[in-house]
Amino acid sequence: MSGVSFEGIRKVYDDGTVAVKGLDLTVKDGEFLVLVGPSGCGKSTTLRMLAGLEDLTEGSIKIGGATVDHLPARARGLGMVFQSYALYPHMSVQDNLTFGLRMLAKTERPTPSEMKRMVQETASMLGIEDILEKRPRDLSGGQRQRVALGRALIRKPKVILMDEPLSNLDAKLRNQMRVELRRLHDELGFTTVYVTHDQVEAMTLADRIAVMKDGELQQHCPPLEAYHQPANTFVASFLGTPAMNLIVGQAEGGLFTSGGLSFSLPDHLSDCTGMGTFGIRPENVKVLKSNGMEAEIRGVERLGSESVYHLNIAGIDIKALWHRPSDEAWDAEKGGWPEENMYISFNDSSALWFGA
Amino acid sequence: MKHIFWIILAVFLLPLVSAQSLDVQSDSSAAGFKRVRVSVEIDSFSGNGSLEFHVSEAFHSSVIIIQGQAGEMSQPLVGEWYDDCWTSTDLGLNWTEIHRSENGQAHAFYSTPQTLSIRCDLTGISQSKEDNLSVRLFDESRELGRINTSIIASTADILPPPPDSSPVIFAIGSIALTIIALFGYLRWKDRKSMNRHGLAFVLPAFLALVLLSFYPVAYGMALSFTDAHEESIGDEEFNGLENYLDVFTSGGFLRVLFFTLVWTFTNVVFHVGIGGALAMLLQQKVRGKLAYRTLLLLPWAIPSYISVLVWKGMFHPEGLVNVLLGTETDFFSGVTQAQTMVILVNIWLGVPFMMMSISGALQSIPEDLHEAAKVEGVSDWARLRHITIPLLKPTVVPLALMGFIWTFNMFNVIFLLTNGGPQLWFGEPGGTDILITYVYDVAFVKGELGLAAAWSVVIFIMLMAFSWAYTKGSKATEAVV
Amino acid sequence: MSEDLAGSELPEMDLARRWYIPYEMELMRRGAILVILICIPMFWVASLRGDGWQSIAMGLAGGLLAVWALQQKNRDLMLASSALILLSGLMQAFFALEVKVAAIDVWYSTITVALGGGGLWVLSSPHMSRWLSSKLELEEAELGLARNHKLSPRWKAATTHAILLHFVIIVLVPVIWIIDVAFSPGQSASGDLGLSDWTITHFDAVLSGSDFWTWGLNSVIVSVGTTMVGLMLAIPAGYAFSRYKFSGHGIMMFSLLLVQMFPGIIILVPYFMVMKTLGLLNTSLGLILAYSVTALPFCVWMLKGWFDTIPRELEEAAALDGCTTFSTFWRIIIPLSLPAIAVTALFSFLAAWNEFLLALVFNTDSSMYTLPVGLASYISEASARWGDFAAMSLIVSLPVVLLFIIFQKSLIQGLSSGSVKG
Repeated sequence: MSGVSFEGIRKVYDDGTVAVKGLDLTVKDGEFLVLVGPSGCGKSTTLRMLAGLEDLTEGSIKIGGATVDHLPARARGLGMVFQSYALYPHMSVQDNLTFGLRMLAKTERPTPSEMKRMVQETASMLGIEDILEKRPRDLSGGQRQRVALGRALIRKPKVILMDEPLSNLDAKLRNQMRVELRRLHDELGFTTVYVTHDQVEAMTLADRIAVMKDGELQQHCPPLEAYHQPANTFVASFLGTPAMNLIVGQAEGGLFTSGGLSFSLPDHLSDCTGMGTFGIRPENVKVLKSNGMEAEIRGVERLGSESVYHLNIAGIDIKALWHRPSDEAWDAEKGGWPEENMYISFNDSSALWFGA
Repeated sequence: MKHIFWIILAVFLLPLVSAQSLDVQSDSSAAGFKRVRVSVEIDSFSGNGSLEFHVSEAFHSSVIIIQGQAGEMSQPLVGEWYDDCWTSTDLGLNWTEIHRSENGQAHAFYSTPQTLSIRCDLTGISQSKEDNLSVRLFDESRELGRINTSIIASTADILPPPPDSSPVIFAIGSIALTIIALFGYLRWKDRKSMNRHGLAFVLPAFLALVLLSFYPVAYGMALSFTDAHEESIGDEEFNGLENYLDVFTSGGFLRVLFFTLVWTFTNVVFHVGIGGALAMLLQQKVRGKLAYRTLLLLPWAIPSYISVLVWKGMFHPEGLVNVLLGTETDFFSGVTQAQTMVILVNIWLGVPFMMMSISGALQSIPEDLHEAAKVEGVSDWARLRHITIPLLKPTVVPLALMGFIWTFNMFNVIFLLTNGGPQLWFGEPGGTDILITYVYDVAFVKGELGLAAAWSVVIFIMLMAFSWAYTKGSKATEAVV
Repeated sequence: MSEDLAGSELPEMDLARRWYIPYEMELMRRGAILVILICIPMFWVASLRGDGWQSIAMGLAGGLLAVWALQQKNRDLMLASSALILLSGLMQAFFALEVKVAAIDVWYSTITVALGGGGLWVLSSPHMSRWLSSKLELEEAELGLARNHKLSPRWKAATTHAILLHFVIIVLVPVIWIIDVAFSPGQSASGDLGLSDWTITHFDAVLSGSDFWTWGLNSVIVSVGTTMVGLMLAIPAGYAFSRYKFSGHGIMMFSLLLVQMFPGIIILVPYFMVMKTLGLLNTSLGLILAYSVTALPFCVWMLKGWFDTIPRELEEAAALDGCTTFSTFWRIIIPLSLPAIAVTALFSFLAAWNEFLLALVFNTDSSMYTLPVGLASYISEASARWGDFAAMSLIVSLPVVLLFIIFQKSLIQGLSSGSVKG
């Protein structure tokens, strides 16, 4: 039993700022939950309240069914990986790993041989056996990250918290560690609550994501569901790169109008009426050779495997992403196509409508 | 009846009448450099006794009074002994030199009970501030009377001729020229690089440093091998290791060294301990932190000589401390008592600086280290022991060394509070003397500059040795941690 | 399974019960330690009085018993220790009322009665008894945790305030006393504090007399002189050490460090002799020279540290614009460095202003005294003019204290970085 539940969580600071406004969230036993959102959205604050490092203004937190609202941090039996790793600089890696164990009361403390075994086990799991004697200042960023992880894991806690653990690593290492984190989670089966501002991490790591903005939960569901069926425009634009195209306008009788732009809504949206936002992801914008809405090409980013076209229709900026579908299309591109204008269509089943 | 009345009156008045009347006069101008001439008139003395001079609450010298003949005792010439003394039996019209026994103890002989006058030129009297003089007359068994007055030696006096300054000027000049030449050489050496410009910028400072710091230190070391004296500057003669021998064999050497060490260690321990505790208290969420911090800084901000004198006033037998404690103690009369009090005052002085320094170090420990420890299940005490204190060590260890050196040389507190007293041992360091205050006494009260220089060198070597050992020791423990 | 250390033997439900400790326990622990600590000075006071140690002994016994009892969670012993402490306070109060009530008795009795009484009151609550005998329900434990959460910080803050206040009082008592003496008539150092007869005669005497102005002028001349000489030497030197790696750079830095380590004692005697030989005793110049050199290493360190933070690109740009080394230094570096120079100047000034030993030795003529030596001369064995001393002290200290407080941060930074780096 290691599920986590947040009930009616509210956090107000002394100066009146409301960091979290009434959060209700459950994390299933063994689930990998990612709290994601822009900076200042309250995700780190929520994590720290779970850890016991911040006070709750209102609400209740339960870990494994037990209320932990006023329990001090050290009573909650959690593991945590900090953004800056927070390794003890005056101790060796080994001592860093075993610190929590060594501080236990005599009756609960493992024997030296037990501890040695635990260190070995954790170290080999993370590939840090050969740096056990070193000090944190002699380690690279990636090594420090693993040590921090090892320190959190060694006591085999039920729940592990991670506060943007990968943000201080370079891109390549970050990708590597993402995969490893997920693998460890799957192998060891602990519940993970992971905080990040990077939507790629959220999409790739999470069993479920919780998108937050300004202290409020926007959507809580598996990543792909949030991707394809975002609850609101914020979630829609937050997930996915390049961001979803969102056009504010008026829908009437199957027709969408926004300023000088007007087009027919796709069938599944033909019943929408009133003011609202039409959304379509760049990769779903249909690129046609002819016979579509004419859009001015403002710029192109060719990435090799795909090209992103920055277009403009009737004063509205649109992005279209064109995957390299075939050699024929590639030859056409090399031959200078398209030139100044392009033909696109928004008639796709993935298009979304957000009412006002 | 009348007769009986007078007899009874006489019986009552006799003790009064036969009480010795003592009259003391002091004259600063007649005696010489740092000397005061004290004339004592003793009425109707009979039998044997002694006259004692106490200066600044400490025994200074005495004259033994004997009814009888001088016999074999010699009458030394003026200037042969420290204090020249004379006696007179005709109320000061004629003075004859006093007799001295083999060990120099002055003796005044007289034959019939009459007015005996004794005049002594007391040496080592301060020219800058008044000292109190207590002249006490004793017969063979008890004190007969005493008179307290204050004396000060005159400065515009028969000073020794100004010493010859040419050797010093020569030394300074040659050193300066050497340094300039050295810099010239270095500049030539660096002629091809941009760096040579730096030498011109550094020259004045370095020159000042050598002339005003290294040269005096070297001179001091040279002085320690001479018999330099304040009254005979320019006449010093080389006397080998005699001064050093004096230092190590002097009566109070171990005692003053011991107290200096006790003084220093106790102070540093409490400075760091209390300062650290206060720093940690101020780390917590308290309202009015800034006000507390500022107020607790006061002992450091107020000039130390003022604070020390204020405490001295408060420790007065009728002072504020006694009022608050409901006692009437003279805090500086007993040795241990006085030692405790000086240490307490210095602790008061030194805590704020430590508090601020440790506070800075505490704040530089990243907050998430504490948080990580908390999440790991570590109790507050364990966190203090295993995280906070080890991380404070790099700052506190050099700080403690600084505190050690600073306290070791803390002159103001002892000088102004007790002047090294209580002075229970003649010619030796007093009960609360530390090395530096005793050196001051030797150099500027007794005037023995050569001996003082030797003391200084010994202290310096001790400090260097300690600093070196301490630094080595602390680096060793750092490696282990 | 045995490796699962997040409390698995007990069912998860009992986390609250496992970890709940009423905050009163911590308060009582602190209270017991406090009682033991305050018994130490009280024993000393009792020895000075030669009497009254019995009640203190009781208090000490109570405190020690309390610490042990809290460890054992033994309710009866805790009650006994609280009672002992309370009784000790009452006994001391009676003793004082009989003989003489001094401030320290009031202090001791108040603390012990409050702590002893508080301990008894806390122990009498049913909640505490249940917790002590481990018969607490889960809900009660959770409520207890919530109560801890709310009240414990307040009580902890209260104890912190109490401790800090004690220290503040110890710091302020001399200040209050000297202010009282300055404004009270008479020249004695009595312990009576009274507002009623305050007068400004001492200030009048001091300000209209010649002592203060003579000595003040001497101090000003010496301090300003030291600052100027010090800066003139240290600024170029600091700059040079920062920017240029000339031959001998390392040795010279090291010798600066070495000089800082010389205790004043080693140069006192030879300085005296040299000054005397050159006829510089009882002059301002002698002191200025002596002080400049003492302050020099620190000033060079501070300024070098500052110059190190100025990027070289600035000078390179200036050079490209055609400036010579000197004019770059003068027109660009110095204006940028004014804050650091100001702090260094302040430090030198204050160090010279407050210096006692060298001034005492060098200037023995009372007309050449600096303020420290002059002030000290008011308090001699024979005649101590406390009133005048107090007034002058206040006049002299006030600006110094204000300067210190305003610039405390930079002064400490400079002091600790300058000497610690060595």
